Amino acid sequence: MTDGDVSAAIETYFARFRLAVLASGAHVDDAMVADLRAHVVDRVGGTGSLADVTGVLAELGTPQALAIEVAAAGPPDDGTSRRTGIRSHGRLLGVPYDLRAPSSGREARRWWDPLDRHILVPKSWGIGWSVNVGALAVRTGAVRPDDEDVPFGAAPPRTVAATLAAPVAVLAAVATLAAVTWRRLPPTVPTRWSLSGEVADHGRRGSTVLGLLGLAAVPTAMAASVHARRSPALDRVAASAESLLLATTALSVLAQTVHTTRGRSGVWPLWLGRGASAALPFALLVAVSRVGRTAEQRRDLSTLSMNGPAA
Amino acid sequence: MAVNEAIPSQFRKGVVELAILALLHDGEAYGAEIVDTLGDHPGLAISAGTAYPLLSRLKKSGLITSVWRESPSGPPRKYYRLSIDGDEAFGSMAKAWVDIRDAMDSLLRGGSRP
Repeated sequence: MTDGDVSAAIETYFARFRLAVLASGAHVDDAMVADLRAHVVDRVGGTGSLADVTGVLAELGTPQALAIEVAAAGPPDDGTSRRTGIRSHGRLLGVPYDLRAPSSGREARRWWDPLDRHILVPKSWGIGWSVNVGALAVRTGAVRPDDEDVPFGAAPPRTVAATLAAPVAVLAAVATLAAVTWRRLPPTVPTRWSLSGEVADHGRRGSTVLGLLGLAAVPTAMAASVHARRSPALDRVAASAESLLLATTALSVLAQTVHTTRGRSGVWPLWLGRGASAALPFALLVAVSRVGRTAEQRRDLSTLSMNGPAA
Repeated sequence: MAVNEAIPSQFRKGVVELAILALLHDGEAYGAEIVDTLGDHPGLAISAGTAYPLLSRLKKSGLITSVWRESPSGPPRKYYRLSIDGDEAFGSMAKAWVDIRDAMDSLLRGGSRP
């Protein structure tokens, strides 16, 4: 038995450990690996045999087990790219950012997470915050944090599918209003208003109306694609709610444009629309959550009534 | 986060989970009841905002289950209870806790070196 055999056994162990770390996707820095190696060498001692090394390495467990243990003990993955060293998400000067590719699942969890008490949460993509409607619903007493085991998971599939009808209906309203009023709209139309109701900006009729149709149609089409992919119920309902917000916003701006071009004063269509664009998605999400809660209750309470009260 | 803030947070994270399992070992309880009971122990007091994510995590890991039950007053309540795995895990964790507590007591009394 030689010192070379002892060193080779240690080197082999840590080579396998590094491979296991890479395979797990965890981040383990070189200094920590060096500390672990020093620990092994220290325990083996200067005159240690191969059997001593084997014993010490056995205490650490297999390289794979050690990799899992070290990853669990370390800090959580902060999204830092191994290649560029740039964090894909985090905070800069206190402002959250997320540069990861958008996903319907992450977006849905930002929209509806009643277990998170924070109403303002980092956006799922981009810079800044968005509203966690789930937290708002809990604060207002509309739902309880643990009303559902899985958000919207117990809601009947047809209820989940039916949520798409809401943005589609508003999109239809935008298209109808645009078609009915198109001929009467002047070539240049108001597009922005001050708080006092004064027109603050104008745009061309074609680009304005098409832009508003797009604001309603594109998110609705994206929500339809989330539904078509048979995504989890949470993703589908949240996609319906988000597209409902944008479609309602488009409808309110178009209604205000028509209102102003007819010579009428005030910005009540805009304010009414803003209120609706906040209230309707909230109502949609809360309603589906309550349907899910009722389904869970019906399941559990009917089981109990069949089996008798639990001990 | 400052070290003196982070350490209690790390302590509480694991300890409160064990406390919830211990509470449910005595019998099922609903969310507000768990928050209130832990609130009776100053070192374990948690808000509802902390309790429900913990309950959700314990449930996802299969240590507890939940079931809706009629309430004697008001709407139905969701009750939590230990699963079979949770009961086993609680036994192991309780034993580990005693070992850790004894070891820590010994260390804190200055008896770190035999």
